[in-house]
Amino acid sequence: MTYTKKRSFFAQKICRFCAEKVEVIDFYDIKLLKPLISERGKIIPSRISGNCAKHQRRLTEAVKLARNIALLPFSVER
Amino acid sequence: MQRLSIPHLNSSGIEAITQEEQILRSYQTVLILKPDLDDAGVNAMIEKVGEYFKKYGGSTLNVQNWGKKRLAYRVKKNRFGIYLNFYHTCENVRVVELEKDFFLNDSIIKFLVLRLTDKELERALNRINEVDATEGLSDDDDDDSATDDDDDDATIADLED
Repeated sequence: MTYTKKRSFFAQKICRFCAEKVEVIDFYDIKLLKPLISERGKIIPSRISGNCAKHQRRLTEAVKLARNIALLPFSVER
Repeated sequence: MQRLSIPHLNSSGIEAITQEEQILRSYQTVLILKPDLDDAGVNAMIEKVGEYFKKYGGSTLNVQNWGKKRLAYRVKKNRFGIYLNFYHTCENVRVVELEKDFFLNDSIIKFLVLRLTDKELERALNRINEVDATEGLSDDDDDDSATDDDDDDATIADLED
């Protein structure tokens, strides 16, 4: 029961970058990256966000660059 | 641990290689300046950094001032920083010297130098032109991002349960 409920919650399993035909993910495009980052500053896994492997790879690279230049946090402590 | 011995690379060989590979490449550099600099100070810094590029055989292609932003974490005890974005060329062998100059400059608190391929540079410059054509610098629309954040937080919380 709960399982199916959860599945329906994450119904969108389409890569959002493929859908918009984004080829390159810029590390300074914070508006694009922010929704793919958890509250803690972690990268949301592709099995949840629904990104394809290619774009998830590019996303991680972009996020890591953004962290390096203090646009995104390495970790958010509570 | 075994020491690696490289018999075919003596000192003269290394020199030959570096001389051979000296090419003018394009780079993207993001600088974070101290937050207490005023506009005049920022402009002076832009000129100064342009001189650095010239010194190492390159030139500035494009400069963007992203303005004062809140840093995601503290950098040298600063909570805010002024972001500058440069697209420039530089001799590939002398990028190390360029980075050393950035290190020694007191107004720069953090920097990032990225090598760009020709394709990436072209794309980046085209994108800047497009943005300039449509409107000025993009404003921060916090409304959209805030709603997105809320949605994602909910999904994560649900997953963890």
